[in-house]
Amino acid sequence: MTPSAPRSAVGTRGGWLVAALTTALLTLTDWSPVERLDLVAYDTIEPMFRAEALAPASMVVAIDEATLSALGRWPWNRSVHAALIEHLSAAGVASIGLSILFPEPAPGDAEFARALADSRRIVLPIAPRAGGAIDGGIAELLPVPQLASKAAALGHVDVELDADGLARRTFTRAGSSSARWDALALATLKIASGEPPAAVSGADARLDAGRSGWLHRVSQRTPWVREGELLLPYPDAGTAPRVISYFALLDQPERARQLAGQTVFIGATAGGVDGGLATPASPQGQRMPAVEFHARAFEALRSGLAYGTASPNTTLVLSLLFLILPAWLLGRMPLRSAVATGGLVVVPPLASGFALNALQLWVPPSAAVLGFLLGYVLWFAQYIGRTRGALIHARHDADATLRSITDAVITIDNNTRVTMINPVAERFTGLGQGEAEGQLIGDLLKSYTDLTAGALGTVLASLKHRQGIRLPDPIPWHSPDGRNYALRLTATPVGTSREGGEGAVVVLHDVTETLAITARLQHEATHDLLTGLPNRALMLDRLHQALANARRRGTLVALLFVDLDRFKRINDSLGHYVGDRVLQVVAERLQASVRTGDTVARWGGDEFIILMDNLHDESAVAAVARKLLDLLEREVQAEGGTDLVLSCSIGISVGPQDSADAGTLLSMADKAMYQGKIEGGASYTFYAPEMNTWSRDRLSMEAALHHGLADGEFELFYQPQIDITSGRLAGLEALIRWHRPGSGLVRPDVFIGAAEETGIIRNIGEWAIREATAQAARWRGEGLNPVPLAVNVSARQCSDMGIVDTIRDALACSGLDPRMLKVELTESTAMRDPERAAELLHRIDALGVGIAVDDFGTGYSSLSLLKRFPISELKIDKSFVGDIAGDNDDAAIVRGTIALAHGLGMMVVAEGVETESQLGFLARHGCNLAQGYLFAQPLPASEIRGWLVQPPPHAARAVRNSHARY
Amino acid sequence: MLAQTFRCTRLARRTTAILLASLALALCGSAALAQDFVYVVRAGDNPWNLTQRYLKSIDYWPRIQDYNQIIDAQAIQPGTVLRIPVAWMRGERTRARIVDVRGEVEQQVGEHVAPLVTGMQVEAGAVIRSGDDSSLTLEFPDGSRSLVGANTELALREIRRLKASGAQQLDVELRRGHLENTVRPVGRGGGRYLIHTPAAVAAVRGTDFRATAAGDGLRAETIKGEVALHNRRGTTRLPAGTGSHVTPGKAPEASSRLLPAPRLDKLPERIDRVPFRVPIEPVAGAVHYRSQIAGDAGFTALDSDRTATEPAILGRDGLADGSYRLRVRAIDGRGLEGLDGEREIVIDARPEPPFPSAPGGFATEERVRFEWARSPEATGYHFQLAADADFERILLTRDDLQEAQLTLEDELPSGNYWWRVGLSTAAEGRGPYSDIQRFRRPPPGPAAEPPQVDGDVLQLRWRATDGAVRYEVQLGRSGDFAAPEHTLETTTAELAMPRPEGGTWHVRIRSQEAGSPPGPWSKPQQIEVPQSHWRAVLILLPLLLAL
Repeated sequence: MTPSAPRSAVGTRGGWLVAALTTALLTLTDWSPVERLDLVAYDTIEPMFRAEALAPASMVVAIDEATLSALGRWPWNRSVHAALIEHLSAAGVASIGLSILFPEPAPGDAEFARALADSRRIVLPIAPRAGGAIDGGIAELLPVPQLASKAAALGHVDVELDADGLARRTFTRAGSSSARWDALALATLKIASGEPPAAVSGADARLDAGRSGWLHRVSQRTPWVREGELLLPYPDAGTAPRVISYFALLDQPERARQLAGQTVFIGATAGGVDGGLATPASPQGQRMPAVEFHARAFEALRSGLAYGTASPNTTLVLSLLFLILPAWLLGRMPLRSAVATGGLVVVPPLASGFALNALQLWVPPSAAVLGFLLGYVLWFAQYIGRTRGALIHARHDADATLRSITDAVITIDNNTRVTMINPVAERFTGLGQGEAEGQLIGDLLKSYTDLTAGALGTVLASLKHRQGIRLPDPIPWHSPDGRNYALRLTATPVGTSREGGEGAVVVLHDVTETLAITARLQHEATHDLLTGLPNRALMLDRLHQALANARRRGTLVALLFVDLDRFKRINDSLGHYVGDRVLQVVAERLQASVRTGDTVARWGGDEFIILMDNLHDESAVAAVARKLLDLLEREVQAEGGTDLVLSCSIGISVGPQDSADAGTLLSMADKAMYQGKIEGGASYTFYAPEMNTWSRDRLSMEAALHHGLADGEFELFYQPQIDITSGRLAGLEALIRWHRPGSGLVRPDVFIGAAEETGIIRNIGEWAIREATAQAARWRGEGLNPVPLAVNVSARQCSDMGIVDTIRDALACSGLDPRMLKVELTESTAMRDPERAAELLHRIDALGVGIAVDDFGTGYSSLSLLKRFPISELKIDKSFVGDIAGDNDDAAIVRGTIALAHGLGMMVVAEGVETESQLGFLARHGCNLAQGYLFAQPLPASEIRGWLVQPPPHAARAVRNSHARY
Repeated sequence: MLAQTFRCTRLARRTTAILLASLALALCGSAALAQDFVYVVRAGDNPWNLTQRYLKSIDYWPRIQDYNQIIDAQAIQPGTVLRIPVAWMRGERTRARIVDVRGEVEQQVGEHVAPLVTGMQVEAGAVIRSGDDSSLTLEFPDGSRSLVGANTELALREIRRLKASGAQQLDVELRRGHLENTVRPVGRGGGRYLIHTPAAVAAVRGTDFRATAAGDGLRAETIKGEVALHNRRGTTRLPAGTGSHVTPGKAPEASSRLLPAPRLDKLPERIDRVPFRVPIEPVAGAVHYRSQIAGDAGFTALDSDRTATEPAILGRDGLADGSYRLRVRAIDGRGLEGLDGEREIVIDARPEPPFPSAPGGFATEERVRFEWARSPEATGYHFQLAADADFERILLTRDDLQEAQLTLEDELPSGNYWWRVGLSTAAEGRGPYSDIQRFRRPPPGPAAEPPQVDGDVLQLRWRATDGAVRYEVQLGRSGDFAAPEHTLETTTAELAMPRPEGGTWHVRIRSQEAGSPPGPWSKPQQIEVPQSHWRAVLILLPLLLAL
């Protein structure tokens, strides 16, 4: 891009030196193409820069076709000319130029000579004649002396033909051997303006050739010498002289009057007589008659519009001076201005034009123009050559840079097709340059990252808005070698928006390691290095957050402050290494005891804190605390074969109940822990004393449930279901009772909650199904009429499909007809996870076992879901039945439920029927079955036996009465 | 056991076989002998006046004859030693007085349950129960006292004064729990103190003595005097300074010496936290240590009664500030409690200090901020920062803090520190300091020397930090390092990285010690990286390719 200055100077000047030499050569040699170029330039430039001409003061008297036809064939008797001249003289013309050669005597000369003499303002022409001289040189073709002596002056009619064969110039003076003769037009002008002609006498008007400043040697023999070149204006039609017919003047002499004061040129215009001259204007019309040429020369001289031509030396100097300008400028300009320097090409023609106008001097511009063009082209070629070299160098540099940098670089075009990738990009993509080229960047990205949309969006936005964009977050990158990277993507458009752009450069900066470091440091700053658990700061942070969430959601947060008992002793006796190992084991065990999502943190030393978030009640906390104590009590294998037995003290505070302030909550947990520790350790202590009581009660209840199941303390009671239309026993609902030692008969609502929490409900539920089926089998074995038996299942039992196996097994063991078994589940159980419930119910249904929905109406059933479940029976909750007689709302609900169930093809059972009026209402609305104290409370199996044999009369009576009442 | 003895006697009468009766007496003898009232017959004594003076009724006289193997009652010679079982002796029912009560204590008489309060009288037939952290002292008419411990059930069977001697006869059933007695010496006046437990009967004669009934039997310790432990399988005598254990269905174990009293002279004068556990010198052979705290020297009611599994005294939660008597005993492997060590302690734990929350472990922020739980009652907080755990080299003491936090004005040099905080309230004045919190201040990051740019590599060097295992270096365009462009790490005190884009960069470094989070950042430094043009070149590439 920036080559050294000396090279630049030599390079620049070299070009312009060649240009200058060329210019000199072209100027100094008459190379015809250049001459022609100059002539064209003259023809073009001259009309534009011509100065104002005087009003014409000349006319042509033309020997035209009409004259020839009137006066007969040429040559005429010269008396005709005499006559005309007399007319003209009489009319008072200023001067007369005759463009007719009179080289030999002819009849009428006398009259003509006399007329010449009389007039004294007539100029006769002299023409050069090749071979006319004695030595074979160019001689002067003079009028016959008789006439020449009478003429006011003689004027040569020598016309120079330029390189293009066109007549543009004549000479002030010319003559054989010496330039003695004024040009015809000049001589005529002199006569007209009263000046004495240059050479009146042909004999002594000879000029010495040596005196001539500018000899134009035509031949080695007698030369024709010219002097004072006269370049004539371009002969456009507008400047053509007025013409009057020769014959018309002769015929009507009075017409000559209009010629008074004018100069008159007489000559032939008819084609046959005068061949005429080819002029620059000829291509548009006729060749120009010689007489017109002279008349135009006259006017040009008169107006001062006959130009001189600059000498080649002058031209050369001027051209070279001109060339210095671009040579100087181009080295000092930025590229754009340098290119504009080409405009300098118009300077030489313009300068020529101005010279014409102001100095009546013609300076041929072509050499200068050609020289400039050559210099310019050379300069440009040099420039491009240099630029190309610099670019190639730059490309090598860029290539080397691209290969050495650690970023992946992908260039794309405006259509987002890949044009190039560097080696790092090859490594990231596993593609070679050839494979990647032409792929759409979107397709390319798609194979390696999941965030294609964001990455591609960035690239497209960069292309669209023409600005560099960096994707703020690193994108994950799966390279084909199986490694994962994090890359920061930057898209930079190439070119400016004005040019429409040339695509973009996509740079992928590998930040994998940086991110890993940052993540690790972040982890280290917030975690305990020994155990990997969150540290104090992170724990506090999460605690604040958890408390805020708890306030918003109305949930609970529990803090368990865990302190190892006698840890100091381990550390002191077995050393820090064992102590650290123990802490790690403890950390693992603590994490194993909590729910996912709970935070286990190391508070410091042997203190840990467990944060349980999003709790709905405290029971889960006690469960975790117990699990934790259990896990910690397992032996720890220490180095050296020592097995350590650990225990810990756990203090528990529950927010926001105990306190909504994080610090206070912590201090409460700490205090509770400390108290537990002082009480002997290996225990958990709630800060709130009533929680300790509750927890103890719950614990003993759980233990008692386990014992109860093992010791057969549970019993099934059965409540009869009566067919409302017939009054017959139509079914039994099995209800569990617990003979808790010391507490008598315990109803399920007292212990089911605890059983659900500990999970023992599964075992109890399984026992209930087996016991119910076995009982039904026993009754059947006794030959009693079987009725369907309904068994309740809990939500916990429905959480997996295990219950299906239990039912299948129980049926197989008892040999009971599946239609004799129904399972009852509550509405809320079914709706908790409808998908799972649907699957479970379908599986149960597939066994042939009926399904009843308990407590219907208390939850929020979705009708559409209800339809999807294979439910055979709806049980109306007793809270609705209780008031149907009085409460219109409840009555409406019951009516609606019955209609709904029947619509879906289900049976309806009303629970808690206690009065005959309730039964009557149910009967009226088509309810199928009823159970309640009106018929019987839940009874032990032994008492149900009687019902199976023969239902007691009060049941049938109640049904009859209810029918009778309504 | 009394009932058994009685049954034996009845059996003897029914069979009217003296031989069998003698056999039965022999079986029950040792216990009966210990409980007999001994009377030396004087001139003029006859069965009637003796009966009048000593026996419940004349019906008992034949039994006395049988018992003492007197053939002829009319010819009892003066000087004859008569043994009269106390059960047959004439006496009057008396009552015990409640001297002091702590916690929840109730008595049940028949079906009637009522709480016990100081000054109440209880009679035989009452069952006394105490709950957690509860205790009471019963005082009997002869001045004997029994301290009933927590979770104890005690049935008063008999409280009687013998008319003959004024001696007191106590008979209680310790169903569960703990009893400590100071019994007046009973001499030969027929006084006795029987403690029945499911495992054995303890007969006490004028002594300081403890009994504890638990599921695994009875433990008894004699401090002064003597105690006889007796059941169907055997008897063990416990002289002063010994104790024994009886398992139900087994003979009482041999007595063993009680553990000596723990030394308490090294305990601090004041205890500034409740509940508390203060280590004491261990006693050889001890597995547990029982600490009892009472407001008065007589230990009539226990404000705290705790057993530690290590050489320490314990005080329960809720002990009010004040002056107390403390007695501590070592407990041996059999569960026998040793001799009392006793002294006075002062508890001054209020207002309770706030809970210190940060820093703990490490403090890496530029200006360390201490935080503790805010207390609504606090009128101010006092704070101490020290360079040692004993707070001998105190660096900062602030007694005027109003907020539950303190941010140090100056940057703390690296090192280990200890701090604690307390609070004052309007009601309770200035409270004690919290537990001591330790934290470490890692050394700050080193300052980089001027960087060197060598081709495409930027080199940074700095002075190595002692103990540093790793350095983290960040380069960012902005001085606030909100989003540093480069984060690098190294284990040596120098770093070579690909030269970043040209321009001004900010550099900061921090070091990390083993097992510690990274320390504080060094002060950011500015460095200049010369421009590089490859991006500009890249932009020209397509044009170049076109050429």
